Amino acid sequence: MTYLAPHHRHGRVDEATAPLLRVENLHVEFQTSHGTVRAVEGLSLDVRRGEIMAVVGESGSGKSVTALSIMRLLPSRNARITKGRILFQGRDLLDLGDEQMRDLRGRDISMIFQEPMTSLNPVLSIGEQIMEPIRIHLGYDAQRARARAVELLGMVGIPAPEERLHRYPHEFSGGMRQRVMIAIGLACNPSLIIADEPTTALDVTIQAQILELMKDLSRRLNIALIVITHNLGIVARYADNVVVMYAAKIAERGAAERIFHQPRHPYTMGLLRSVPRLDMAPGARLETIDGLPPNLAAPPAGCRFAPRCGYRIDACAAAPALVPVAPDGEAACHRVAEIENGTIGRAAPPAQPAAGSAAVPERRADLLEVRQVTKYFQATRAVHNVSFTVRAGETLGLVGESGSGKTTIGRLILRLLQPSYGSIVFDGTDITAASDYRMRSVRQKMQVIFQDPFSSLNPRMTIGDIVGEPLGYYGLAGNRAARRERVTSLLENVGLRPEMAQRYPHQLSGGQRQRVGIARALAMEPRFIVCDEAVSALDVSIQGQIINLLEDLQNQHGIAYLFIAHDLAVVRHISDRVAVMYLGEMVEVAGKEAIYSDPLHPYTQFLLEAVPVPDPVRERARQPRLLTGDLPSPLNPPAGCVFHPRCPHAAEECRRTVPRFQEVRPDHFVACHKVAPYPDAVRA
Amino acid sequence: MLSYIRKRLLMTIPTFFGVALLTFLMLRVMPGDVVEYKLRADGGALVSEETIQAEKRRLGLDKPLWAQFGDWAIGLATLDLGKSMWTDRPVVEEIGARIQLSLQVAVMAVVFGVAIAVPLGTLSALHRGTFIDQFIRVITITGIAMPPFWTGMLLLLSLLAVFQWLPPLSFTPIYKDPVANISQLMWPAMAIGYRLAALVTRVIRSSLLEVLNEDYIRTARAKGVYERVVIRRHALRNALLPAVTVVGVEFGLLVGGLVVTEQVFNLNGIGRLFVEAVARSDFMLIQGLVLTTAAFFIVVNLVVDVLYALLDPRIQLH
Amino acid sequence: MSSVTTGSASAGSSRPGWFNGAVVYDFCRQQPMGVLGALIIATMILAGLLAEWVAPHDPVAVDFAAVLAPPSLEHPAGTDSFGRDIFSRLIFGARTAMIISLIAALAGCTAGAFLGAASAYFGGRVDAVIQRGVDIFLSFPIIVLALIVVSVLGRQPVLGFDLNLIVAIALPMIPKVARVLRAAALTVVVMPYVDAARALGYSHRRILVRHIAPNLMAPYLIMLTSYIAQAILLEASLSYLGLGVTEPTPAWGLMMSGSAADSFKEAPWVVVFPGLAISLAVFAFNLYGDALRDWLDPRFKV
Repeated sequence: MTYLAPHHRHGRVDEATAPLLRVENLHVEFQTSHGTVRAVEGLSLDVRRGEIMAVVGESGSGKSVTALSIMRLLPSRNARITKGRILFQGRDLLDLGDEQMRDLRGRDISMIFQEPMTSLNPVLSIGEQIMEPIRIHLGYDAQRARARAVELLGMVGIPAPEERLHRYPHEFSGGMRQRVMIAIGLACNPSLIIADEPTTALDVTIQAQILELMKDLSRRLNIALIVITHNLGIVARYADNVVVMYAAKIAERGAAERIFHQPRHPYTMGLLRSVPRLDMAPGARLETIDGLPPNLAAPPAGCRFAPRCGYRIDACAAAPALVPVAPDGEAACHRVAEIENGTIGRAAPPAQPAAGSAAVPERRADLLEVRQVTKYFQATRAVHNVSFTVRAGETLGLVGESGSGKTTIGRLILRLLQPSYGSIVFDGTDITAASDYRMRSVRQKMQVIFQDPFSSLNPRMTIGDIVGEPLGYYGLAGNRAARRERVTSLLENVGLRPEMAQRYPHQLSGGQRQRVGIARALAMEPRFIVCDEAVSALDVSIQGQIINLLEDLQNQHGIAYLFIAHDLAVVRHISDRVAVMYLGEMVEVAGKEAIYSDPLHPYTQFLLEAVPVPDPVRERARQPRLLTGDLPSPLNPPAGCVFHPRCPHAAEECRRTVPRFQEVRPDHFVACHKVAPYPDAVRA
Repeated sequence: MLSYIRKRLLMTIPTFFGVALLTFLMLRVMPGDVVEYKLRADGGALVSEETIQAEKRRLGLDKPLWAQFGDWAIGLATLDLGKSMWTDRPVVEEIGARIQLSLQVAVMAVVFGVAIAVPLGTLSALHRGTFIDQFIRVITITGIAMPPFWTGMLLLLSLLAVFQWLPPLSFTPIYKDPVANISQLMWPAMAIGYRLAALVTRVIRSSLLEVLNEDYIRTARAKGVYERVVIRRHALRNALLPAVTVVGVEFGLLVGGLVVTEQVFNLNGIGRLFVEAVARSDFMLIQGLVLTTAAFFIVVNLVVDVLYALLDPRIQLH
Repeated sequence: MSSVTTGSASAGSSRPGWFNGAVVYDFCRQQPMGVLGALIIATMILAGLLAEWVAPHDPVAVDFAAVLAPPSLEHPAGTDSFGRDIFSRLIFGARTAMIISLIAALAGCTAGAFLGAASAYFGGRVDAVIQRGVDIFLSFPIIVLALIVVSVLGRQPVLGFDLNLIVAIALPMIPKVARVLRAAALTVVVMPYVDAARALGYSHRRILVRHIAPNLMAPYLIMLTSYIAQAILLEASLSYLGLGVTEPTPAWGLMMSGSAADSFKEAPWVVVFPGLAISLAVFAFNLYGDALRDWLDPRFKV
């Protein structure tokens, strides 16, 4: 290898002007069993030294394929770059030989992947994996490589790095593994790091830690960063420039501030409006983008977004080109001029106050009461002494990070699990002690909607059978004709066409499947539904549709929801009251407004601060306090208050005694020693 | 580590006890009676009922079942498996005389099989869907499709056709004459090894394909690791783990599973002894053989589990 | 790499409707080797069924004038040491092999699948008991277990076939299938759709039959094809040892044992053709099973 890394050769002059990375007119195709899928079409972008560029889009928009194309890591079996150039420091990466490209990877460009749990080799120690690129690219001997690895681990904030070198990935938490991945990415001082959804698999407080670390390091070491994400809050907080992709093409690009405050493409506008946000009063209904993204094996002619666009005109039958917009950037829309001068799409309709949300909602009767429930899985304490109620017709949001026990609570209520201690009373029946016969009638009033629309429907049954099965089993709809009629009306109720009854789940999109799951739950005419992360797996534009549907159904049928989720903004939008769990314990329950505007428990405060909001100006002005450290092991939970090891207010009493979960304000319950029962907040 | 082995060892005790009980029970419902069979074969149909009863008493067959099991179990604890009901020699001695041969064939077969399987499996996975893969697939499916006695006969036939030579019939221990020993035993080892290689090749192929799809392989490539290092260090190291288990299980079953092959090659091993014992309803011997085979399997499995725990850091040793 | 999936939702292992034209076409297009296997199997089954019409000679007719005759036009595969036509015996042997192995594999795999699924679904003590039992049975080599069954149960002919032989072949499969199907069922019982069925209050029977069993069809069918092959091998091995099918019933393994094993050095066709028949049958089932596995496994899908 006589070739020197180009940044040693290039003069300083063109370094200032020429982009570090320039992608020109990139086209990528996949051969699949459904024909040729054009995953990226005509993508161009420039990344400058030290810049943070965000690529935003929903699944299937081509954003990850773009990243893998730059790395030339597309699956060689079925993917092909058909056109375009990828210029990195002036050289076209597509012209390089495999060996030259290999030498570049990890040295000049590194990549960080989405899944920290599976991205590290389970049988090699952390040290071996960090030292590998150092030894290959920099030719360090074992001793120097070790020293560098220790330095890197320290840089990404892993305590006791010397000792950790010999550990294996399974001994680290998700957040720690992602730190290791970042250390590997930084190992050879690259000039570009591509991060593909680097924090999507992580909890919100850990996400904030990782993103701050990445931003800080890239600024300090002058590394350009391409962040691929679907999370607009992250974009607003970290990106200088943004590329918005839709259906394999660029919809819009520009400076982050301009994109967020003056979006020029109807898709961008729709995307920004369909996300519930923590920094705005929740409106009555989310604005949504109707319909589904196109099938890329057979994309529509003309503008790809046209079928879902409210501003569609005849001209949209022709594909729009990217045109410059003021003050910066480009957008691919025929009606950019009209959008710019405000003729159309000026602003979202003003947020209306939620229908019937009077100043203080009256306290309705309790439908479900969870009483001091504890659940052990062998030695692991998943849920500890949790009490709360769900009132008839209301939505109680249940939030918490992984390991908080929120999903276990849902399963206990559904009696998919039996509690170790405590009782759960639903509509007057203690379901932990109810006979099977008694449960039959309880089950009819209590239903569930699951997170993953791909696995919550039996793949071997038709939609009609799935929705109609409970009707037949409980004899709710008389004869077959009546049952078919009822299935039809249920499907229509959730916004599906009746013909869908003949289809199988795999023939439906994720959003449609989730609607089927809702229809199945509705078939029993329940009074209460557990929504277990019911919208978490859906793309932003689909998520809004499902949230609206759930709200409509609640208004029609007066159903109560237990809405289990980790997305605080979504929970705020949909809930009447919110419950916060941490490490198996309930730390705070209160009305939505109280909890979001005046959180009392320190953990709730950290949680809310960790969420970035989709507004670059606000995000840059804000310096969130970050929760330090990792979640303690539920095998060995801390004594006293479970939050004390991470709590800045922790005092002696927090280490010793478990705080009582008590009502400190009207209808506002908190478990914290530092919160005085009336009127003042945190004492410390 | 020691505590892991101890725990694992404790877990095998109930299995072993179950195996012993099952063996005993299965054989006591056997219709053929060794005493009648033996005496009538010796002296025709003229043996008196009294003689039969006396012989039964001598063998302890007149006691109730639980007492017979008790006797046998007590014997087991002192490694005394009783006496063959046919030859009157201690079962341990009968088995001891034959096990060396079977064990050696099994070990040679495993070595032969693994030596072929690792490169074939790797090649097949790396060239998935190509001509190479299809060719290896045909070889391996053939290997699984050939009954061992047929492979053996084909081997013998080709030796005869090509060299006009057949391997020696009498067993020479390897420490006495390695050449004679190996020239006799390499053929049965190859016949079984081929089948084993076919099995293991397929395991390696599918597990390597799975591993190559893992995120950490993409990570390794993104680090700029040389492709051959990606395969050897990152992929194979993970992909060979399931193969360890398969090889262990197959080896554990092999010593007793040589029944048919020993017949073809006229080898005087455990398998041959087993067929003889079954033909004569010598259930003391059958019991001893079945138990030995199962015990061997259990011990091999234990060793494999410990080995696996050493190779895979994810297994908790405590 | 979520972005690589196409717009139309097509991922997942779901392939509902096993026997419609489009599915068959898809299989044929993607798995030509599997089609080859299926064709060989079909030919063998057909030949076995129509043996009386297909076979040129009576399979049991002894002709001492033509003992150990080499292959000729009259006897395409030669004759054995009793002068019987080997080709005709092969065709009738196909009937024996197919009937015994299909019934044995079906019985063994179904019993094993049931045990495995119940073990996974009920968990706890049921699971522990079944798994201990499986552990014990798995400690015996298949052939040893089969030999014990054969020698314990003796013979029990039903409609010309030895029922106990079928039991001897089926029994050793049960623990193996149970173990594999339990592992497969464990991934199904934790599926949200099973939770949904439990939340809807369905009975255990309904959940097992309607929601779990249909989703175990893929591993079950794969196991079944490979165990039919195993059954053919085991039947041949037992017959070869003289403990399986008995004279004069034509069976491939039997044709290679006894006097054939003595004379094969002089008259190789006596063993070569039955050996080929066994290998071809097992090969075909494995080819088909392999193709089925590749085709059904979503991990190997593009």
